[in-house]
Amino acid sequence: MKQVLKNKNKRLKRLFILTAVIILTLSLNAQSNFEEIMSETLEEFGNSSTPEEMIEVANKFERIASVDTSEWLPLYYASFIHCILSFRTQDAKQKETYIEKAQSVMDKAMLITENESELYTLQGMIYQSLMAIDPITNGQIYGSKADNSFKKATSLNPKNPRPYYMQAVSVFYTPEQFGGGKKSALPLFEKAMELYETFQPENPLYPNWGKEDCESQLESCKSS
Amino acid sequence: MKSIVSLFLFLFSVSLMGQTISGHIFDKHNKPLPSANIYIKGTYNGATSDTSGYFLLQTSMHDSCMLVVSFLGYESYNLLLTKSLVKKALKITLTESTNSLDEVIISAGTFEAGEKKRAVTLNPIEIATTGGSDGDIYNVLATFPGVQKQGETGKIIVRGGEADESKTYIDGMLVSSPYTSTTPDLPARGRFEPFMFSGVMFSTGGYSAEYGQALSSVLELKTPALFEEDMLSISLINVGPGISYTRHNDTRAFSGGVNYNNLFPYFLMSKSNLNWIKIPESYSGKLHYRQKTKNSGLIKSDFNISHGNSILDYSEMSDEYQRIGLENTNMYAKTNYNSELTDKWIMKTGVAFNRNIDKKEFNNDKLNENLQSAHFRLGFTNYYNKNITLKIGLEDYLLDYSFNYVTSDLNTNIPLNTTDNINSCYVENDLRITKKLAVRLGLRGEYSSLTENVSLSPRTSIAYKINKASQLSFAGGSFSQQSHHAYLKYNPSLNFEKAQHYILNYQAEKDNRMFRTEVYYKKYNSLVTFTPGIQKEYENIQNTGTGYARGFDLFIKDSKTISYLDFYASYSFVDSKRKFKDYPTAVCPEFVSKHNFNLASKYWIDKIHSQLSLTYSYAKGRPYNNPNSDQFMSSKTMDWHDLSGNISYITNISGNLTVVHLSVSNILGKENIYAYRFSRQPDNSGFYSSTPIKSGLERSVIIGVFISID
Repeated sequence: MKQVLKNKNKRLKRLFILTAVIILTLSLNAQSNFEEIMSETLEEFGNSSTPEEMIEVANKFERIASVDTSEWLPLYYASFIHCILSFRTQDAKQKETYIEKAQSVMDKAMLITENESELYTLQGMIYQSLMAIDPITNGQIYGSKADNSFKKATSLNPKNPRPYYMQAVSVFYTPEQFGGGKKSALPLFEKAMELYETFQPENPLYPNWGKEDCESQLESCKSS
Repeated sequence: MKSIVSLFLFLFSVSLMGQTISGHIFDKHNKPLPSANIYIKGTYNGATSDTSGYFLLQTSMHDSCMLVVSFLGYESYNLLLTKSLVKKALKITLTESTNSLDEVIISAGTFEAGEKKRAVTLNPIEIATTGGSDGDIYNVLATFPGVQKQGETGKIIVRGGEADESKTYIDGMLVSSPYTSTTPDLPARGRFEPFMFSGVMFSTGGYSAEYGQALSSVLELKTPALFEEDMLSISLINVGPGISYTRHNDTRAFSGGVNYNNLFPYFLMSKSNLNWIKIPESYSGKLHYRQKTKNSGLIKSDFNISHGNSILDYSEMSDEYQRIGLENTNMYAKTNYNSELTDKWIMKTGVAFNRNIDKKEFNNDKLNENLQSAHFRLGFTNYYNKNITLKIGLEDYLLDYSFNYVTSDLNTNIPLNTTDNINSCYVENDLRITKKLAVRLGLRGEYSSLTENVSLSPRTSIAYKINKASQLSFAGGSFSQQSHHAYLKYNPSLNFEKAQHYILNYQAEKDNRMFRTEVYYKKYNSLVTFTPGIQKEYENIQNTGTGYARGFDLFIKDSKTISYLDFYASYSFVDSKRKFKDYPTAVCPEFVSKHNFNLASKYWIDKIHSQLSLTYSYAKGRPYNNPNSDQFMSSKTMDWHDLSGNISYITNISGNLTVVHLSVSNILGKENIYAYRFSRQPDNSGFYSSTPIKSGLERSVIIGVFISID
């Protein structure tokens, strides 16, 4: 009887270890699953070009976010895609819809972390897009909101080139009468480029965009 | 061990059980919804609907799973999928979520504008750049439907209501002296500059039970939460310079400024029929402080102070001159504290103090008027769910008015004092019955410690959304206001004056075009009546007056049809009669103009980076009483026309945003007559002679440079 019990104990112990191992591998698996699906989706993002394709990718990022609820990156990309779409479209109504979506996803991301430089950069971009809808009415309000977001982004990570780059783009397209133009944008592009040269994302999934565009815009600033 | 193996086998078999789920996503009107996100809850697995609303997704599912459909602006949709369900194509209908922008909103009587995009926006820049505004909020409101401007006083008249029936609030806190004090025939201005505010709610009737002590209209000015930009602003204007400075960080913000004003250049540039001994001059200062606290709490403090004086030789009739001196000191201080108590309860509190001291001299007689008020508010809002909101609150309004008239020979000394404490409470319930139908029910109770009167004012609003672009609303209710302290000082047992509003509103809004019309009926009772006194100004003061105002307004706004051109037009018709004050019969009162029309336009000229604004205003002549006629109040003044405009040139001076602004009122130079003043006694032939009442300032010209330094 004792022997049986001992055996049973042994078996239970083994079962326990096994279960523990399974759970561990499953969770490790889940972790690598996140990375896997993120890099897969990022690749799809790189290959997408039409609004339909981009929305499909954004939806996928949102689905990832619905599973990995403590990750801000998938929400960042979902919001980022809608923000890009809002810049691209000329239709005011459509623009508003994209911005609304970008902002609602952004709000969720901010609930996960409030100390992420990239999120503030993107928030600044959303404000820039809002500004573009009606510059005369919205310009002042969202212009300074955008500036504040970029400042916050820089304070959270002084090495992040993107807040400088986005500010540079905004100044670049502002008429000279309002303090914009190539001349005023040049130092910002230079600062952004300097940071791009040394910037290393925390891991391959982190935002790492803008360098090429910044380079070519810097050249066009210099050439004139 | 066997069991573990079978567990693995089970897991294996489940993952092999590939399934195809397909279907269509529609909205309520069977329109396909593209770009919706469809996924299996808890997995990465999902799909996006195409232009025909169609989706297809492959899944390795268990016996059952949860399918989720999410799409912005719609309620997210959950469906428990079982094997049997999977085989057929799904048809999923999403319902619009009620917190989307297209929802029905209570809107009868109200113009609301702030940061949110609405067809009628009224932010500081819009106010400052409206033709004829001269940077005064009330001048812009005067061009709105249902509103007319009383040229000689500079105050607004809403739907046949006296100027005093319109009340101004800042963040829910009453401002007891919103206009500047002036000498006769010089129009008053709003005390607060538009750049202090981030949004405006203006109601011409039927407003919420949150607002009391106003018979006709409520203007709610909203200040910003935190200031967004650090800057130094310098304004160099022909009527005086100003400077202000703002600093902020994530949790705190501070702003302060000073201004100096002297109307000398006004009178230099245009003719005036006023004989100044000392041209109006004033100093003002302001401080604003913001602090975020725990639980998303926010403290907002605003402080304004001003001091001004002027001396004038004034001729009421052509031959007699009187020297009038005015020295005014005004102070307004208020603090709000708002905080989230729980995720459903929000607390809003506020304290405001307002003090206005007018020291007047008539030849050598002296009149000191001192009006002090304090306002306390404690309000709670409960967001029970997204369709039910409950507001309850308590208010305490203290008013202390002292009046002291001393003649030069010191023989007459009339000190009068009125102290009143009005306690109020309100409860209001907003119910969204369906996405198309919303109802607001409110009740307000008020008690005056001075007159010991109680009033109960039930109010209601109903809004029905006809379709995406248009809405029909109704508002009605009772409104009460304490009799003016000018009468209370003689008779402290007066009653509240009362009004009843009924408003029907239709508005349609699409792609930056808006049409709005309102029909209304307003009934007055318990208005103050008196007989002109011999010893005192008024005798036999009672609350036996009655009256009504009825009419309609039209409003259109368009910023789409012509690019860079933004315009609105308003027309108001009002038919009003009153028997109040010392009127012997019910007649149309002297401050009411039957027809009012305004056309305000703004045009952005890209080439020269300038905005040009022009505003044309028309008001039908107003009645006045001619004592030479046997019929009371039967004469009419001439119609009133005004064309005002401004141009703002935007540039930069060494990288700092600079606006050069030129503003001219009454461009056509028309001599407008507001009313006539008659001699008190007839001449020998029994004839009362008269002089026209005109604006003491025929045309104002403002030239200014505004620089913002980051």
